[in-house]
Amino acid sequence: MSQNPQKPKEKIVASPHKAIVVNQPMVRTFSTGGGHGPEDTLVEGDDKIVTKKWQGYPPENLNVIGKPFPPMPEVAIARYTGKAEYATRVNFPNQVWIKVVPNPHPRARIRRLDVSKAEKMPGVAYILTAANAPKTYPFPQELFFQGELVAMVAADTEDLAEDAAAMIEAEYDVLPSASTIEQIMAPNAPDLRNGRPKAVRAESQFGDVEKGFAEADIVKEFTYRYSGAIPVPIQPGGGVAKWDGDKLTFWGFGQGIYPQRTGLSRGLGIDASNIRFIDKYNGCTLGGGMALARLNPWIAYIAKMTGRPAKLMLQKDHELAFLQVKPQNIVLFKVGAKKDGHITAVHRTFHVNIGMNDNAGGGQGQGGGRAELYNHVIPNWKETGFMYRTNTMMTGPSRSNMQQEFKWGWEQMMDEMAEAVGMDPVQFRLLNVQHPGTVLSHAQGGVTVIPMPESLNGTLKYDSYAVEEVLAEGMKVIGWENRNAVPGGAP
Amino acid sequence: MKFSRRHFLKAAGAGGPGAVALTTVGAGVAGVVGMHDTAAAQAPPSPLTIPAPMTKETGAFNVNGKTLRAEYEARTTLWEVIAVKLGLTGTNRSCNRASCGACSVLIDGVPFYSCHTLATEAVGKKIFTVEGLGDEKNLHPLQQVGYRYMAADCGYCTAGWEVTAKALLDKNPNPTVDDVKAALAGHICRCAAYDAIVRTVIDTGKVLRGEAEIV
Repeated sequence: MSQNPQKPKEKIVASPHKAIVVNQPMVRTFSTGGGHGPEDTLVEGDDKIVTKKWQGYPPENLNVIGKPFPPMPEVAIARYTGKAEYATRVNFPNQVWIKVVPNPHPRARIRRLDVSKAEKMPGVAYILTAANAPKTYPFPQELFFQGELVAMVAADTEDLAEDAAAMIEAEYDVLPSASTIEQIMAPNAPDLRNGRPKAVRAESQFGDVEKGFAEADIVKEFTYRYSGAIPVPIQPGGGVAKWDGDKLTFWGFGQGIYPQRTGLSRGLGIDASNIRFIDKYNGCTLGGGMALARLNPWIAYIAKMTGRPAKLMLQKDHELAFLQVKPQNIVLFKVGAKKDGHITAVHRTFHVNIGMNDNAGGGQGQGGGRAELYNHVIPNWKETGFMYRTNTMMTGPSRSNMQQEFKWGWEQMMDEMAEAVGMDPVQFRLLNVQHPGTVLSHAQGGVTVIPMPESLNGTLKYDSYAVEEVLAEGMKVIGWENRNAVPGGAP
Repeated sequence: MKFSRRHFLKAAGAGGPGAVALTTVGAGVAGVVGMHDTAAAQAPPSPLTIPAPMTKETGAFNVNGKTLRAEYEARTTLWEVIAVKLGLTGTNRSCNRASCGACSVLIDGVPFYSCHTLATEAVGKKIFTVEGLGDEKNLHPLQQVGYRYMAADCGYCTAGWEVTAKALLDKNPNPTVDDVKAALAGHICRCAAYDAIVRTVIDTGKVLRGEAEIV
């Protein structure tokens, strides 16, 4: 320990983020809130706050943006003292602990399930299987992926529940399965969609790609494969259910209170007003944890049938099966460009592994809402998506709404196409990206989900688009000038 | 083959591979047998035998300076004793596989994963948990600096790395960034607040040495 009385003490102040501030002049005629200068006149409209013009970004008189704001102490301090009430921290003296019995096969049906020994085990309170699951929320008839639910065992302690789970004897009829895109695309793949085509197809286009390829000086094709990613939350999935008469309190885990409460209401066939769902502190769902809500009605049902609070803390290998994951995909590109680097046409084909999901939802076959297309000026484009049902766990938004897994393929393509036309990858991007003042029709830019003020007249106009500044800042941060400029060369 | 602590202890005690065989044999009987079905009598014989209940013991646990008594089995984990039986719920269990570090506590000043420490190993030893670090009225500098640097996003791993960081600073009041990274290598933060966590430990060292003050 050394203390120098001459040296002034360093001051430790709140600095939650290290932000990179891009100074870009900017003029807007309205704002949707925040960032008002003292000279602005605020007019409360029906749906937006209209201000007079302000210029400069970030405005100096902002009182939130650019300022360090530690979170609300009454909420955040509890995270440092061990008093934040995660669902896993809720215990009741007479609660039962639940353990899950998972399906060991990629696809199977239960031929025989014997719980007679398990139910005689000391401390076992209830065993939930397909035979006694609630009619409003049955167990799956076909076990469509490895780890799917076979039984839930409730006992006085977690160890006793695990003992009893090990005493359940199950025999399975193993069915033909396909878990990867390669397996399901194979000609001898099993039928997983009851005679319907094995992939749901989605197609959209703008302009004429064949014309665009004919105009191009260089046409290249690329294939990119992404193996998928699993966003495992740190808080174990599950929750605690407690009934007081016909009122249910559920300490759970997920994103949002009302969707969870609605799920419990539907699963149990009771009115949502009888359910209180508590999720004040949440151990990092990462999107994947949203799918864990599927287990909630069964936890509550066990609590109802035993007359005791019921608690489930999934162990990680069991939890894996009940998460929603980023899907595996194969993306094929056909791209045409002029010698000067201008892209004339892009045809992008997705093959997406949508897992157990029976139908394709959201942007799974559309590459995350075609964001790349409306960030660039592509005169002719076409997108074809194929979404395959396979014997893997649920897929869905996890750490972004179905975007990065497609964006990475796009950026690889841009690098390889820059090489093909003999341009620097950054210059190639700047040439093809939108700039302030670029106006695209909805059809060309991809229909945005959120109606932005700029798009109200049927076009997308970017009055600010800091792409040059962002790329310049990024190049500086990563030392772009010092790279090995040989494509594919060592870094 | 599945393994549990019961199986491991049994195998270790017998000095051989004594775990219960879990394969099933016999002709198939459709449907679920047991409490939902009258076909239980026709079920074929199986090698599964119901294990005998484990012996329970009562021990004195010295947690954060207080002596607390709890009943435990030979396989009961320290986490279950602390967080469930003694009600000190601040210690979070996450992976339950000795991988993530969220459940860390100090035993005689050394960090242990409480999910993979048997309660019997900690009887009579000094156990230190996040509750011993400080409460909202009397925050430890680690908690104060951590809050200012937003070293907890979801906060689920926080209780674990805080006690490990305290053990480090007790032993090494002036750690380098590499010292901190090495000491906290057994902790996973899924929000990736690692940068803020390392800065928190370094600057808490400065506060404890009197070189910095928290504003």
